[in-house]
Amino acid sequence: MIEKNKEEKGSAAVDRAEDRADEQALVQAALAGDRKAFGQLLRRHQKRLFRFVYGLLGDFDQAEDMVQEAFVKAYGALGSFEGGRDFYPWLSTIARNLALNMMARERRKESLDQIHERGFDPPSGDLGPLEQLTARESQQRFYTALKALPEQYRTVFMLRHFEEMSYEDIAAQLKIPPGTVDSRLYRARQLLVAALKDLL
Amino acid sequence: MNQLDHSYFQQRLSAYVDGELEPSVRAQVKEHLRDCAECRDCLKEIEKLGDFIARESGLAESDYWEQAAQRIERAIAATQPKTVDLQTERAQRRASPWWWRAPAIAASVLFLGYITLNESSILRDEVLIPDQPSDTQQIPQFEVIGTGMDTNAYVFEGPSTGLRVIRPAPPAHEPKEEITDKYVRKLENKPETTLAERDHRQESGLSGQENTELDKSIVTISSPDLTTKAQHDAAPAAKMPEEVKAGNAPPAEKVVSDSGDQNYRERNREKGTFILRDTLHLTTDLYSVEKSGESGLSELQNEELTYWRSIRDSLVQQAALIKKQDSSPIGQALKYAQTPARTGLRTALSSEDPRQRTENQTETGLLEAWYQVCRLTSDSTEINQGIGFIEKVAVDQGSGNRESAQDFLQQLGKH
Repeated sequence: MIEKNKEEKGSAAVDRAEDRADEQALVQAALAGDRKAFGQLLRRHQKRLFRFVYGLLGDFDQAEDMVQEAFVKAYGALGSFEGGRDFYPWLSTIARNLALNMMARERRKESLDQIHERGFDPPSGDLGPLEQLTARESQQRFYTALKALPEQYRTVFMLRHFEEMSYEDIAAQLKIPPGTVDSRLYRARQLLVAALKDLL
Repeated sequence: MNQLDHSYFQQRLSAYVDGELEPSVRAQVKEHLRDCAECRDCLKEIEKLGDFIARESGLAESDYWEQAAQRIERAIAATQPKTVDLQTERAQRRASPWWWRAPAIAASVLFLGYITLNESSILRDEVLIPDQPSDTQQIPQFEVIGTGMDTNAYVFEGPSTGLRVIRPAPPAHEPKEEITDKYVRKLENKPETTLAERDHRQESGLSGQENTELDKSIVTISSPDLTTKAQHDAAPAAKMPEEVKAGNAPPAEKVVSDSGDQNYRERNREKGTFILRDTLHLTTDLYSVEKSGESGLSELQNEELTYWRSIRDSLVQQAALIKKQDSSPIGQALKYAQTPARTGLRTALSSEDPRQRTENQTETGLLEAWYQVCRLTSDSTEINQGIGFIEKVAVDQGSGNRESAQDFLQQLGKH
């Protein structure tokens, strides 16, 4: 049994190494101007990136635009990508910065418009087009619960769960104390557990 | 264990699961978990939630992903300079038999033949406006290049900004008697014909009556005392073809070469009255604020202020027209593209949509007009309005005129 586990782990490590080498080759080709190679990178990571950006923004259309913008920006900035590193973390940093900047702008806008808007646009549990991309009801329940989280909790939750960022990095990114990261994450998890209790 | 301890430890459970606690705190939480069933349950739920997310957060396979990838690829391609693969293009050209291209060649030959045979009359129908101001000018001016019954449009050209605005002509009506007389006299006392027309008159040896007709038919309004060669280069507009709107009209010299033609003279004679009337109407517009000239300004400055106010008002109308078009599909698309997240879409649309270019130009013109008005006027309400507008542009991240607006604010600060 132990031997089998070792074998599986070893095989997964080889797969990862191959994937990485493959990805590096695609990055190099894209750097040399091969747009098809970049297209392959795009297809590899778009789903994961979309899921992350949607989780942050909670809006399908905005997430779609943001993912597009992230890829366009990444293509334009390929020259600054350091070879030998993983592509996805670099790409998701671009998307994350874009999304967080946009959220900050939206917050400012909201504070100006909130008197007019409050009460007319209650948060909706409707997933919109995302419903087509969730195969099971449990998935839809998860995304509905995630969307219903207050933005501040959702942001911290997404950065931790989907980007695997440390509390310290999240604090630096959002310019908040690490203790606040801790408490927001705890609160986000509590709310999600309450919403999904029957499925856990 | 009191309640305070329990809450404290419970709130550490999230960080405990994530391995983010200091070793000493982690040991305390571990110890508390041994005694507290509620916290153990809570810990289990957090762990289950992590498993649930790992299991359920993946998105399904769908055609959507390929469509989205292709859309992104198109957006990337739109941001790249176009390159032509000459080899592929040549190969494609060679692959198609020559007789496939025969109809196109025949059509081209016929078209060129038609152009050659009718060259003079075709050129005459064009309204020719120089793309660039031809003279050095100290103070920016706008001039009426022409107006026509067919399109009901005026064209303004601002030499300092390169702005060219087309606005619908106001409804043709009889100007008030005293104003008409005043401005007919004013116009007749000024050098009103273009250089092209003078050349034409000299070459064709027109009679005195014909000369009067031509004088009426072609009127160039210029800011007083600021007449330039650019104004003389402009030709009368019997008709406004599309290329004028697009700003790619052929150079003005062609007008000069066209002078001396009988049809040209007759056409202008026929339309002269209308052109004169429309022009007068606009003249009235331009100078109707003369009454409200401000004390403390010289006559020239007052005229300049009046001038810039009228340009500002025209551009405000222009902006209102653009806004009206917002209900059109392209208007809707542009509105949708205004959010910062939609840069790709915005880029794609702006490269195709002349309306957005017009919008930017209108903003450029308005900015300049407001700056000039603020510089000259002493009306505090007007100054506040103007500075309000300029400030708005100065902080608008998406505006191409942001830097100009900041400069204008600085300069106004010095006044």
